[in-house]
Amino acid sequence: MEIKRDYVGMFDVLKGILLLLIVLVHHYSFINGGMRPLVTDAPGARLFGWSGLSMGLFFVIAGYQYRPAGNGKEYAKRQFRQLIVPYFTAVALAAVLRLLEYYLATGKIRIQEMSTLIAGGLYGAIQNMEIGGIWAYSIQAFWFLPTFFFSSLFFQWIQKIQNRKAAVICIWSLTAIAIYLPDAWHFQFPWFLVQSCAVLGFMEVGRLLKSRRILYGKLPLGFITCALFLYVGCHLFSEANIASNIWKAGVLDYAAACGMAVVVLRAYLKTGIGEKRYLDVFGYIGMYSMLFFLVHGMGLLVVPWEAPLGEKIMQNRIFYGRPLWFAGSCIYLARVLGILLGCYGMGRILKLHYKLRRKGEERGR
Amino acid sequence: MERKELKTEIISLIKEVTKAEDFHMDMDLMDDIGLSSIDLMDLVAKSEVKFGVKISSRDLRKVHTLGDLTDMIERRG
Repeated sequence: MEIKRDYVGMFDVLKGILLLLIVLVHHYSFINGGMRPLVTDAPGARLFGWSGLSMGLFFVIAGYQYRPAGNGKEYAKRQFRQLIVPYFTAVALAAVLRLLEYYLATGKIRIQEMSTLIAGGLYGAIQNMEIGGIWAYSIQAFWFLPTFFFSSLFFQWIQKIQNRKAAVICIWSLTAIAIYLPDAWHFQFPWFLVQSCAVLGFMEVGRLLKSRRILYGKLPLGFITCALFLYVGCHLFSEANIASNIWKAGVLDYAAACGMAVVVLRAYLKTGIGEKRYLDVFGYIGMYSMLFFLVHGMGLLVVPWEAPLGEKIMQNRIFYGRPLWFAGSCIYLARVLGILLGCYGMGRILKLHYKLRRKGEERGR
Repeated sequence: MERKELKTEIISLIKEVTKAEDFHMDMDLMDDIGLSSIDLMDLVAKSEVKFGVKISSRDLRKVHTLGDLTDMIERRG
């Protein structure tokens, strides 16, 4: 049944599917290079390679749900509490777990296991890099949280510009500049600032979809066809990646992701996938996307991706002599189940926290 | 719990999440109150604790306004 009206959590199922795709892409990177020697031209590398779409869609949805904030200071505080506090908490916790992991493996304490990750977290490092003589470890998937925070603030500020033309020019200029900056391998910069500008265009597309009610109308067939061809072409040959700021085909890559995002969102509402009972598990992941993402991000930081772990896994008697796809699929399922369990556990902790706070308030009365 | 009391309690929960001022039952949770997905997760967890109900993503599909949310929690309670 077609979704005919906006409601809270209307994109939950889609967000759930996208999060599983993100885990899959990260997981493929673990297989390709971790469980077998890195093969960049393998068909899988093309299929599972990054594209602007998966993460871009999150920002299009954020733009769709954009509302002007009445009180800018209050809005910034709320965003900080909801995004930056969990970000630093998760990075700090992952740093402690890494220290513990190293101690359990070697019997020694190596403070760099923590400090490199903390430095990476403070700098928003998306690649392992040296900053002023200090080694910073990549924060992997966690780039999303500071980026989401800063892009939301930038977007709110720009939308306050009275002159609409100036606001639009500002958004697309910042987006274009960010797209054409060198990628994270070649440019040491606090990456959340570059990424926050790069996603502004996606957010503007989302805002336009909402204000012009485009998702509830018919999309021209020509637009759908162009978007599909452009997206498939860019996905196969460019591997656009917001995280590392890779846009080999520049604005064409970006346009492909924007066009495809519109097609996917329209198809999502038209087919009513978000209402299907058998997809409730995706709805659960989407509703608790923040917790799911935090557990996944911490998992990437705590479990090393190095080849020795991959070799160890393949030596295990369950996987020994079996095809790589079998081992890869089993580990993917185990990884998703682990994240879901972690997500459920964090949900329980959150509720326990509210329960205790409520009891404290009642006692105080 | 009386409906009026329930409404007041829900509004106090939303105020904790969004710090907004005035509310009425026809207000759209997304468009008028401006709840984000993280606000919603927060609100669901707080409501589950406060009213002892279980709210799934599916339950929220028919929730557009503050009144719909009150109705849903009232039915569940």
